[in-house]
Amino acid sequence: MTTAKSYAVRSEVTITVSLLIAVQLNLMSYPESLQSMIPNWILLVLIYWCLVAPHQVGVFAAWGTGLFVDILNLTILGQHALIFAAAAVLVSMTGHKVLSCPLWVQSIFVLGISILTMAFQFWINHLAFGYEFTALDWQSGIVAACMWPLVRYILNKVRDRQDSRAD
Amino acid sequence: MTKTLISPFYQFCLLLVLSVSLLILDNKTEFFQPVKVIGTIIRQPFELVLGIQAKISVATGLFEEKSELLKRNRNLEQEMTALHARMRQYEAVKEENERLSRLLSTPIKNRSELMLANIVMTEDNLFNQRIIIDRGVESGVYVGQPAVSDKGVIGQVAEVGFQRSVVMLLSHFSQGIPVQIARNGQMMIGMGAGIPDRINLPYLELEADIRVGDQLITSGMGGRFHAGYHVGTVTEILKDTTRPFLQVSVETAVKARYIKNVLLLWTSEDQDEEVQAERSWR
Repeated sequence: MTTAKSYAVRSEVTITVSLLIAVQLNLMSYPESLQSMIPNWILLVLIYWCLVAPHQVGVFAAWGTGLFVDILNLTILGQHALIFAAAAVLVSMTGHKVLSCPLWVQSIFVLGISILTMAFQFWINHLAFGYEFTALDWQSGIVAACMWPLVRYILNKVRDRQDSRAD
Repeated sequence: MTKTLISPFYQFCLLLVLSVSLLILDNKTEFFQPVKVIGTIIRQPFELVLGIQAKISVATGLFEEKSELLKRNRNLEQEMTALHARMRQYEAVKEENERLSRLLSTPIKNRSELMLANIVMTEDNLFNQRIIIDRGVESGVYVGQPAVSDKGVIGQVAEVGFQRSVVMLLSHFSQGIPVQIARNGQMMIGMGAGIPDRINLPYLELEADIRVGDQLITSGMGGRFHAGYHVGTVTEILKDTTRPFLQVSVETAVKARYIKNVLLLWTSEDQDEEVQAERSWR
């Protein structure tokens, strides 16, 4: 009982730390030519944890992360919260089937999720400010899909190490 | 972990309602101002890492293209020599001005007070066009305050934290600015295009006297910006007779990417208003 509990606590620490790193990566400044192609790291990490640890990271956790990002970025409160919650509900409704699929199918799944969430984001911006989006805006979704194997590999490694310690 | 009884979809519906009410509350009211102040405090450890990244990128040039740096350097050198030359002229003019004002025995008034602020973060991409500066409530910054640089108008303060504020760039799609053409004085409204360094002039009739290359300056209408600050240059004019207005694109004078600090202005009108308010209070 105690080991199971301590395992859960440790995995939550891992999840929080990985999300904080993703937040930091999102804040980093990139070269001008790459600026519009940088994927949403937080979204990628959230998708990963929603897939492999659905009991710890669900819709509420994603919403909380989004709210934290909103507070941190001084954007309108609820914007990122809504987007991340939407991504989490999409993953939790379809995710368990995706886990056993080959990597490229997972990448396409990630592409779909990021494009849907971006559409959601643009739609909010459109309602709030009348923002018209261009074809260029969708680049980062494709890059996110390409980055998925890397993110999955790194986070799998982190989780393996944590599992071996827990044993 | 105990499994929650509500399905994810209903959880989402609950959170959707919550988020939308948050969005509306935050967009229309000042209710969450304290939360923004807390946000600026939480930011600090993240900014520490950003500072380290900046130092590394300066040391290694990893995050900037070298040709761009060289070009920028050359431009800066050119500008510096030009400015030195112009400064000599200004010094002469200033002396003359002082002499004349002594003759008239009227002291030169400080038209507006200003404060230098450093840029903590620049976000100038397709999603957002804004900068975060290191001055906030502590220094008396207020929402709607104009921010300028030596080249022209940057934008205005949109959110104020304790030691941080968000300045929306002119190119942000929520921004508008009253401008006029320097050549003929025609006044109009410029709206942010939502694309870096771009603003649009959406309400110009088809016969308007405007040309590519026209310089735009602030007109001073509305009282928020002083008249005469440089805003940008007209780069493209599309005349489509099926539409009621011209489609005019303007390139902003200030490129947010290339500036390190901004000047915050306290307009003299504000001060006058404050003085008047104080008087009426007494």
